[in-house]
Amino acid sequence: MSWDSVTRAEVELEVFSGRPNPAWSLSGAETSRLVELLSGLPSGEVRELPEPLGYRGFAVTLTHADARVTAVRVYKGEVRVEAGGAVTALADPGRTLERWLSTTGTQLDPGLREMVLNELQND
Amino acid sequence: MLRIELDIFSGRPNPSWILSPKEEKELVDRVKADPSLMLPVTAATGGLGYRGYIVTTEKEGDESLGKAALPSRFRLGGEPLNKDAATALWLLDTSEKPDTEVDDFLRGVATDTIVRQPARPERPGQEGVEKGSLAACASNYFTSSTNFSFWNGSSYISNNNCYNFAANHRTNTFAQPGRISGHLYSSLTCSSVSTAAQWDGWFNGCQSADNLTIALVTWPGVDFHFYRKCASGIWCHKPGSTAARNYDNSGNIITNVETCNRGGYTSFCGYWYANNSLIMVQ
Repeated sequence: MSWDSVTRAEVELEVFSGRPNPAWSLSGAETSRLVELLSGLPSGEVRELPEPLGYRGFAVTLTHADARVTAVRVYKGEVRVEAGGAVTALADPGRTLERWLSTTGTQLDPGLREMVLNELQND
Repeated sequence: MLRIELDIFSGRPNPSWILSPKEEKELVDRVKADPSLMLPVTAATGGLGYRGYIVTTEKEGDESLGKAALPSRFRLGGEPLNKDAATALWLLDTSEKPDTEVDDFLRGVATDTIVRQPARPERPGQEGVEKGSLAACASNYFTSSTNFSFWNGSSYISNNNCYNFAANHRTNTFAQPGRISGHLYSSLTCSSVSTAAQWDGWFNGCQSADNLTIALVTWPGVDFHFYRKCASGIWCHKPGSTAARNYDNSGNIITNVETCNRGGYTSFCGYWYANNSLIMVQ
């Protein structure tokens, strides 16, 4: 997988059923940091990630300079990457990437933020 | 000056309030647009509970009312002539003033009556179904409890949510209760979302054909979720933009929504029914 020339990153907190999920764009600096974190992850096992009712991690959409889109799902130590029809996987030991993503949601309702932090307490 | 009396009590005096000048003008405009909204005070518009409003011009010679040549006292709203539910609900909103005598409970009683559809004949052997309870319906529209390809294809999965799935209406609008009927829920409570669903056309009891049976739950103050009964006595659901499925958060097939693992959606609100051919959401 290639993380070069990512120009934009949008993060969606995967949590709701009826209401639309909260979503936000990352700043330039945050986007660079995200690419750094992703590049450093070891490879993982390709599988369907669970999608329970309630908190189910983050969905990140990366747009590249050539308009390619890479979809990344981060949940419970696993990262699933889809780009150009191909699916690959990374591992997120200690849920480090997931925790970092939760810090970028500065506009999140405090109650929701607390719920996410509680979810992240389990390794 | 217009005084509005909520005609609802039997023993106690009815609550009442004075409209602001802006509200007064709004009411006058509405009844001028549709004079048939005005009824004699003595009209029979209900029994116990909500019976509509009594509008009285109080001394001070209200000019706007005088010019409109409206009766100094008339009735508005109530059954069976529940003509303009929107006006009745708007008038109810005007009662939200400091020191109002109309509390949330009264407001709920009035809203329920205003929003409720005309009574349907009971099906033989089906004594009045307790509001929100589960009924065994005779003529059901059950979709597959195992094949969700209609919902989970890439063109549709992200833009249709639990409410789309519950209504079996794939609109790609991430449907919200009350949106299609112009009465979007105002809070994430059983009461508010249920009212919105009723506005959209969901009923308290079985429909005579193609019946859909759904269940509403809420994550109190945060979100809502719906389940729909599908084939073989199994309940199915679609959590947001994720895949439609027949299992709960423990991975167990759902045979009872009230006892299945619903994660944070701890508040069980009840069951609702609609004809699959008629119910639409947006």
